Amino acid sequence: MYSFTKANKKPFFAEDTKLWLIFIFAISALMIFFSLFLLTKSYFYKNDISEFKVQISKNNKKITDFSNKIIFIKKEKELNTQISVNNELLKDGVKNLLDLIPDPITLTNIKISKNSLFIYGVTPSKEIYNVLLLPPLKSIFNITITNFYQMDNGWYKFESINKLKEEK
Amino acid sequence: MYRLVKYFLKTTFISFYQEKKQFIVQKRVVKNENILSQEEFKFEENEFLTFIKSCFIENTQTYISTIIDTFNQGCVDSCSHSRYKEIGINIENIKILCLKNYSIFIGLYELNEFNKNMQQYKIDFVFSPYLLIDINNKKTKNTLYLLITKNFVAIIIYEKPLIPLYSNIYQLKVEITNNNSQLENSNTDEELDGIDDDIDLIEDIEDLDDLDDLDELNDNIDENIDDEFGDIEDETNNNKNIQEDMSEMKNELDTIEFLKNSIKDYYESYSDNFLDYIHIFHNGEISDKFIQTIKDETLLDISLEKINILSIINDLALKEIDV
Repeated sequence: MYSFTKANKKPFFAEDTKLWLIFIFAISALMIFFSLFLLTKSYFYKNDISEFKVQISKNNKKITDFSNKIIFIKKEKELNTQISVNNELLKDGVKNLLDLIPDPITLTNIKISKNSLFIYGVTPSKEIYNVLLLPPLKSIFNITITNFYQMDNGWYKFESINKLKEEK
Repeated sequence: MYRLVKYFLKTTFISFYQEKKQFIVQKRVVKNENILSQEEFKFEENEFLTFIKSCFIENTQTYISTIIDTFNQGCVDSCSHSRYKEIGINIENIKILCLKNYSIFIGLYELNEFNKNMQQYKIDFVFSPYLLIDINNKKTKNTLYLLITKNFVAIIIYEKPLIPLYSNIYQLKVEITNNNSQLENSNTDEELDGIDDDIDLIEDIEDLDDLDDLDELNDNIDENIDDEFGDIEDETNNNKNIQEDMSEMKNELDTIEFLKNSIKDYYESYSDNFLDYIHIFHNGEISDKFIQTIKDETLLDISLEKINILSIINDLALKEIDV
């Protein structure tokens, strides 16, 4: 140190340069702030987009599930309708069958399957059965086999097995 | 910080000192330790202020330096306060500048007054004239180093281990301009008295018979006035030169007297070693007659070295910032 006094502080920039720099820095700061704001916004939008994509795929899956369910329900409905129709037909068939049974003959049991009909009952005589019940059964079924068992009172228990030929 | 800045920014160093009413100025522009430009100027006070302002507008990194040549300063062969007390200097009234193995002090009052007077120039660095000698010499023992400027004369004598043992400074009187103006005024007054006498003569003429006489009289008066003013100008210039010569002579005589007194003081109070040489640093012309007179008066060999005070001040300022 050689001087009796210390140097005055020297600003790096003149007053007007300082004003310009402040202005430039302010503008830059604003631009940086605004770009940061935009970046943040875009980041959040990207997040939202990925979330929406996940949701869309979930919804698509749900739509597929619902479509499958709809198809299933439609099939169920169809089946249900078919079953109803079949039941109606069966009901009509049973009704017709019961209409076939003549008064003297009493039924004890009936088994109905798809292609066969088992009838168990009591008849006062074989002739009544052969005259009143056997003809309508033969007209319906391809095979009709009847077995009789004589009871103590002279009536007969009968077992009628009726089958339709299966279509090939 | 400066080290970092200097690689990118220019730094302007302005050194100056006053000579009579003029400011002798050096402007040096430095960048990355290279001198880009160096110019010297002479300004009047107002011009100097304008120059400084323009320099600050041009470059905020402008450092202004000068020297202080007040009497109340000196060198002491130690930095310790006890040494100052030993030699009877009250350290409360001085500012001490501690250098490598000695110190330079200055009276606080003088320094403050100087700063107050120079406030408008926004001075950064104020150096002692002793530094101008110290930075330039090879520090030989038994040699008296003398710095002669138009404003002051400074002396340093070194002792082993080459630290200043004796220092002294003398401010030369530079009142030539004021004396001249007084002389000019007094001379002009005398000459104008002569013209007044002529006018009195005119007033005395009461009997003006015709206009021809009056015209003739007017012509005579005009001629007289022109002649008188011509004479006044010539005499003023002559007086100025004579006064300047006289002032220089007086300064030379004062310098020799100061030198003799200093040598006497040195022998009496500081050292028994005899001086062998006088090495004179000067920044202007020194007449052979003056050198011969010093030789005759001191009986010592003399060597001369011309220095540029302004360059040295700027060098010091550069070092000051570089520290």
